[in-house]
Amino acid sequence: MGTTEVVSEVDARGLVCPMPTIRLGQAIRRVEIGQLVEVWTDDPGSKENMAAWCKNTGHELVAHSADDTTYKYTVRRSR
Amino acid sequence: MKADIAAVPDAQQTPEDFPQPKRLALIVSKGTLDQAYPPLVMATTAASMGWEVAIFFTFYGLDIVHKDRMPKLSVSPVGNPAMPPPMKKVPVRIPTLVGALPGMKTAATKMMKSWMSKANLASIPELLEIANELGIRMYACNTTLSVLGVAKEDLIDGVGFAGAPAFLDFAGESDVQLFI
Repeated sequence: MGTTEVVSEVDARGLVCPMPTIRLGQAIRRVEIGQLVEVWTDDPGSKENMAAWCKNTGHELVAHSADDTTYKYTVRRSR
Repeated sequence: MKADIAAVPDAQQTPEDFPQPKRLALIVSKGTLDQAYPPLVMATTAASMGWEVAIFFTFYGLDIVHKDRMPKLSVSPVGNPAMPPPMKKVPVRIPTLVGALPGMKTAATKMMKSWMSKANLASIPELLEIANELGIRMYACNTTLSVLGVAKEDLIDGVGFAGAPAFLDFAGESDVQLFI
């Protein structure tokens, strides 16, 4: 189930807690189950935050990557 | 065979993974700008994670949902020894007696707001709007309304009214309870 194509991108760079996860939650509600949302953030605590958010919401953290300034997370809407 | 399949709970729903949403119960008793953030950040984050959230505003915390006072939430340098120095290059904190001079509270509030804005922190009205969108239940403490002479119409829309029994009922069924 689900695609590998990201259908929604959330640029949360420059935003601090709680906004990156709030924006992710808003984006997830706008896509279909199985579709992917990608979040960009510069929050160094985002890895723990995204994992916790996904664990609690039941959505799947599919992938994450980082360069010098930006962390990217791909989340699949699972329910 | 079909009957057997029908007897199995819908596997895609996986209800055993999410039997009941978690619950967060907050009492908010402080009405300064800096103390308005922790409960609203926690509440909106919890709600975005699918938790059920209720906030009970009591005593000065009521100012956070007061139409006229909410935009004027402030930070006092008096009795606030942890307040950072006003100028980063001059690492001198404001002595309490100086902080008590007229105009210092306004200056401290202005300073705090500029730091918050530089850090791109959401404003209190923004967080309250998000709280509403996410279905966070907000209640004003009945007793506080009477004690402080606040009318129900003075509060922002979406705030209900409840007392200690209602809070305890919700908190008793909650996973996390915080008094802020």
